Amino acid sequence: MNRPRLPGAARARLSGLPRAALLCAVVACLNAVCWSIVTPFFQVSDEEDHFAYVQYLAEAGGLPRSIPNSPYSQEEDRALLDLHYFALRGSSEPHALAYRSEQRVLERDVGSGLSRLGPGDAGLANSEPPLYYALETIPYALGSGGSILVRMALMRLFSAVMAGFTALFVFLFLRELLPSTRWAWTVGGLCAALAPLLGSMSGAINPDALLAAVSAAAFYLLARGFHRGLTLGLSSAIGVLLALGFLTKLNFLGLAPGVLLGLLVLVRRALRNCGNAPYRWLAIALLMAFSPVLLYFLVNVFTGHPALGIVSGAFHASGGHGSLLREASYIWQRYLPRLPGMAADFRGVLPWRDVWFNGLVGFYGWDSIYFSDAVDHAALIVAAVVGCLCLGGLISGRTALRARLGELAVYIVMGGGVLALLGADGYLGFPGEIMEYRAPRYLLPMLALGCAISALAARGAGRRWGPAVGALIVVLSLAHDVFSQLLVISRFYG
Amino acid sequence: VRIALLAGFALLALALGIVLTSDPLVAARSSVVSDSTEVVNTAEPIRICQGGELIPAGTAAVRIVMSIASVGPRLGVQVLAGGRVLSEGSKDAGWRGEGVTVPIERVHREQAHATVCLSTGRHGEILSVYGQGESGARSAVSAGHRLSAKVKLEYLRPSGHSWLSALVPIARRLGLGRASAGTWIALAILLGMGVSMTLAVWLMVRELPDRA
Repeated sequence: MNRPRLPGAARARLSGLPRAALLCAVVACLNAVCWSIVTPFFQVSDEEDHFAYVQYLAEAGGLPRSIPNSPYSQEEDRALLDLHYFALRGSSEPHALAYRSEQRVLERDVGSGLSRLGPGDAGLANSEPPLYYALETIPYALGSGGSILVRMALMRLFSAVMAGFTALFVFLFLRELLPSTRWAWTVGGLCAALAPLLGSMSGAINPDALLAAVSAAAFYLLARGFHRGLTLGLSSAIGVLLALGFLTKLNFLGLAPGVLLGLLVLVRRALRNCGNAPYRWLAIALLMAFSPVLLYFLVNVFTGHPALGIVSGAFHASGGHGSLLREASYIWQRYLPRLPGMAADFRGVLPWRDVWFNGLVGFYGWDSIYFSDAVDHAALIVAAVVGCLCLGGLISGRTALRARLGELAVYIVMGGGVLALLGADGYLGFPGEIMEYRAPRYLLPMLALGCAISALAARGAGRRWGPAVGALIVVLSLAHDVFSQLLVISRFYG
Repeated sequence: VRIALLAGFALLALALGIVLTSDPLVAARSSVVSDSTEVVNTAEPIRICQGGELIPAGTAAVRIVMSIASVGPRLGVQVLAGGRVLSEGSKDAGWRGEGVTVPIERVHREQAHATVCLSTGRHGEILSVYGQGESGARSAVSAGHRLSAKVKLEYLRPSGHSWLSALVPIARRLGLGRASAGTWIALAILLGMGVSMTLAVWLMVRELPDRA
């Protein structure tokens, strides 16, 4: 019997990938699969809304819309009740299902043929672009003969595959970033694969899974351009990637300015060797990148909706809320220590530590499952050591770094863009809610940078100790992942 | 690299052993049954004291039902008896959710007629503390004013059974709430973790040189 074979080009591409990169992808996939089993259904932020979006898209063939106080489909509403969703969410006390009798009730209810078509409201997910949800209709359709539990399990597994792509792109990014330190690619790739934040989000139905993969790919493509030079193929790939990002999640808007800046810098460099051709490449890339945005704009204009949808509302709200300087001060304080002369926006809280660092150490489920203070304090010491090693590595390689300042600036703009977008959105709810958009998952688009810090820290330990320190950093990531899963298990099943 | 891996995994195994042989905290007693009443709702730092509390022997943490819009402030808990501080503890700022556990120094003997005080650091958001309606001398006091309710304080102490001894019931519960329910789910997770761990180690041994 003939085995199905991959097309020649795809096979060549795959065989060109380092085996270590593929193995990192497999580890990330497996890790996310474990997370998908460990976390009860609907107990990851907004999973009920994301599922409702996919279900409406699959059943009605249309995009969801905002309908105040609207229920989900009968099937989803019943599953939420039977799985104790309302009791479990946010609270630290009750457990998930504990008795066979509860399981029997659940199986009876979800198998009773309840309607899968809701009124069309997907809550917080209404405003999100459709790419992730459209992809998730594939596992949804594959499991359409089964209950909602079967479909959700398949959809979570599909998300887990995206974790594999994220780890793969982080590995490839490091290959371009640190071409002479081969072993550091594996250190960074494994750190990504074992990151509990990536596992928990990619083990759930959530567009952050795809956003993480697209963002890691953006870092990779730009690093490739900086290392090997821009070509028509690469600029087109960056254009397609920008389009995918815009279609994945609104948060990609934070990363996009940095990617565009990177593209411009690469075009400027390419002009030295390729005549005027890079201008044409840039035009093609921009056309590809903005075609979905243009389409969205035109559809909104012709259907009488605000031209930029929900984003238009954000501009209006931001404009009426205070001066730009005031907003900039708020955004600064969300991530960095307050400077003299700034109004105190976060009294009693050190956002960089209490919100972001501790959040990265572990905030799971509905951001209500976290480690004890002692663990956070210990993690801060470890992070300081890793930070010092990274800094040492950068200082020792300062000559090479000076030649790559443009590239570094692009990555900083990409990361800064993500933080600024979160800050600007958070400012809309301020001061009623001092820190909206505070979940650590919003930092997932910057995973490649985090893993680069780990790889640089290992390299910063020197030629003798570098690989051993790299191995220790990976074991630390593994321990972080294992204890994070145990924490979630103790919360829901302990 | 191999030595680093061995040392790393030895430490991981040791930490796992310590965690699995420790006892989970369980609620030994609660000051009131319900948490349906909003006892306090304020954006200012608070100090609430509640007298007549019976603190069970072995209490090592107090769980309080409270909520805040985004980021919780630093919390402090003091247990007072006979005019002296019997135990105290704190929880750093940054907590979220609706139930906060504040670890305190272990109370070795049961203590009747204790006063428990809860204080918060500065915060810029509305903070709500929940409990049960109660009038008279048994209700909580804040800034010299008697409130018409009691805060729900749950006293947690080690269960006396380690996580290790609870593995089978946990594995059973892990298998529920899914399409194909069964204890095998726990084994699937162990297998998945084991395979990914083995792959990661193999990759490190293969790719990381002993000296760069």
